[in-house]
Amino acid sequence: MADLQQRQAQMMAYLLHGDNQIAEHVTSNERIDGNQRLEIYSNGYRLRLQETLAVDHDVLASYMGDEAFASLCERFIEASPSRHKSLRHFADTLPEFLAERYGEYPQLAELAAFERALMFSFDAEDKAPLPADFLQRLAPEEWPACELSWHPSLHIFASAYNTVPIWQSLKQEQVPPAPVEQKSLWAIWRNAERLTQFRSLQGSEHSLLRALANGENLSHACEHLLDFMPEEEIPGFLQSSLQGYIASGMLCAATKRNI
Amino acid sequence: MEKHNDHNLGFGLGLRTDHFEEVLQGQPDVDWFEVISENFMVGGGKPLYYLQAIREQYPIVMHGVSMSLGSTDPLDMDYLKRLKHLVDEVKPSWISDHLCWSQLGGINSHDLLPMPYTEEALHHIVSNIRQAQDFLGQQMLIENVSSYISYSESAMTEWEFYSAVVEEADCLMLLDINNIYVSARNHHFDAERYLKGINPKRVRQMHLAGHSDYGDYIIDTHDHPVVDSVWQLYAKAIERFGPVSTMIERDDDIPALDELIAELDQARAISARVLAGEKKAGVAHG
Repeated sequence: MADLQQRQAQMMAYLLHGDNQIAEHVTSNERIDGNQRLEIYSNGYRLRLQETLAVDHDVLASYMGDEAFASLCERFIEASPSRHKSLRHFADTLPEFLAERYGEYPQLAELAAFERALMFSFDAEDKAPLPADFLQRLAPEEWPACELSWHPSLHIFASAYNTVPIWQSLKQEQVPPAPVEQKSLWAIWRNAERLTQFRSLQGSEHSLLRALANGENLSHACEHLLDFMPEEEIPGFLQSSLQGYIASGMLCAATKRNI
Repeated sequence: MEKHNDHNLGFGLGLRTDHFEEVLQGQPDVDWFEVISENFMVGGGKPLYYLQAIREQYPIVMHGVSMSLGSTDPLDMDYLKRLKHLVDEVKPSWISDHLCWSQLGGINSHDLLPMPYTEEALHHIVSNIRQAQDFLGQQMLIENVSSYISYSESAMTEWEFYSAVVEEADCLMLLDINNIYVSARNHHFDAERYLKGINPKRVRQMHLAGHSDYGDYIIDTHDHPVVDSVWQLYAKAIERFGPVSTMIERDDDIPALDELIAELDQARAISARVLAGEKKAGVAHG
């Protein structure tokens, strides 16, 4: 397999780094020589990856502008060749890349992370959400031990900047606000119409959802809420929060766990 | 000679996101759909919902673009497991991938890169196809790719290599008529000689597509309608291979579904004309 392996290594080195050793093994004719032929592949390689970045990160692209985004694409493609079968994962490390290389604009990494969270929520695993009347059918004595799990599409996006308002403005083709530090939490999930949706979360809601994700029952989950509100307010908060999550399709029956 | 094909699904289209809702609601006059396997190797959500719903109404074939059968990397068993899971769900009429390599050292070019046509490459890809078929529990269709380079060490023509691969791996052919035309122009070979070099018994499906013609070379872009020269080559293919499941691929500048169906009607008309001509000739000579 020595020759085949060498030829493939040369071709890959050409695509990734422009190393031209492969040209000696490619034929030419009077109309188009070997180097021009090879360029069709290297152009195609870069265009395909650029297009993936532009489609998956259209809001980031419009925020950065054509020139800066093209430069980002070039740098990212050079630094992070694809290690995935599917192009949808090509830019999985883009948020980290932006945080590292564009640290003076921290909202860029968050914007990319937000777009990726939306994308992965869109085609996350299917699982039946709880029926709308789940809580009404739950007997009072069943509440404390009740365990619930997140819908597989649900993600919590923690933002240190006004990234989501920036995303919303750009999506509506409006001028985005200036970046400012602004801590916020967002739930992203796929609704019953299979469309991705998001909304902001209070700290208390985040705490409740985290507890559910950790497999805690409602009784234990309520203990975390004592950090946010007096004990007498907890039942009402729990009831209304859970009803809202269930109506939105964010929760499912608890997954049975092996002990 | 009576040509018969038990596996002829008729005339199909590539199922694309833009047309999901229209296909499901309108039940257009398309005999079957081909899906890109990788687009549905996801957990759930809209793509899988539509695939399952459309599968209830149409035969589906699954076409993969990243098995990288010719690569000297080992076959990606995780990918094959995920593909098999989808095959079990969708139960396609058949599955296909390409006579090419895409990945090396774990890095994916996301392109269909041509093989050198050597004995070494032949044995290597045959072994991988056999392994993939054993794992998937079925014969695969292997498609010829468009190519822009020829390796100086190639010791046989593309069609000799392709034919030897399918015979030795005991797989089937997804013959891409546009790719034959593109490669014939790029490498100055006779496309009809290519067709004559193919064993009709191995041909299970044909692809048609548009390309971008730059004069000195052609790039397989799937963003234009099928051109006349490719229609003419398709007629020759039908003449040689008889009725074979045929579909049109369109991956960019995707037009309205009606426009693609009108293009598919051209394929139906050409196939019918060629086959009717053959019958007449058969009677005349009979």
